[in-house]
Amino acid sequence: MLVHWTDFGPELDEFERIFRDFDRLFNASTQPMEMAPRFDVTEEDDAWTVHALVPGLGPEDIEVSVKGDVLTISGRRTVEVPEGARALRRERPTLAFSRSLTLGADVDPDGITATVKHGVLRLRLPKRPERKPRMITVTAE
Amino acid sequence: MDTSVQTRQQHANGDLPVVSPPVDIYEITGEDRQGLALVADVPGARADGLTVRLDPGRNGHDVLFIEALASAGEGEQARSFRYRRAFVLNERVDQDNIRAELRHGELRIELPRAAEMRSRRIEVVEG
Repeated sequence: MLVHWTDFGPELDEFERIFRDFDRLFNASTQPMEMAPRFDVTEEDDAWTVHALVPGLGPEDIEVSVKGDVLTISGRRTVEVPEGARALRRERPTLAFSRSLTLGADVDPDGITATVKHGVLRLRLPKRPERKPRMITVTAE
Repeated sequence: MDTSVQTRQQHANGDLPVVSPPVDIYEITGEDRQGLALVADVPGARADGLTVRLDPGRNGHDVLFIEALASAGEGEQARSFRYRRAFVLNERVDQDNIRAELRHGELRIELPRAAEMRSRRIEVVEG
């Protein structure tokens, strides 16, 4: 059965077919090496945000912890060949990561939140409210 | 230079960047279930922006198209993009029973083999 992919549609079918056997040889049995997702950090006015693409990971698969001023994010997704199935193509890697970030003094560790939705992990690291100058009223004695 | 390919791509993609997602494909050869199963990593994709389509290709080979709108990031860093891949199938698929499921950014598609393609065990009886 199967199969070739092309980003150009079926027009390359004939061409692709020639390479089918090579493709099977390279793709079918070997899984890509373990990979870690890329973490993007963005600064906003009131918070820092951290994003990562983590397909297959739900809330139960991701651990976020803060110890002192170090934030650690870790998770793992393994890809298994289902029982009774034969792999024809394996491109999805095992995802494994444990990343530590040192929090700046402006981050409020108690306010950190983490959500994962549709395979996208998002952390929000709120900044401490800026210390406003406090006016001290001088009273007459 | 062949510009027709480029034009077709732009037309199909709109103005969103296109990402080719990694895909695993399995052949299922059980007695009761036969066909293909396909799993794609499409983090950021939502079910309402998902297209799974089987088109008749040339020479009787169907083409499976997968397209998914996705977004990630926020604020000025927010970006939208489109996952897109196509596969030429070498075998007939039971079109009415294709199933697709999207969970945690993983897209799973089951393509049962068409009834006339299914292998079937024939009981041997003593004559």
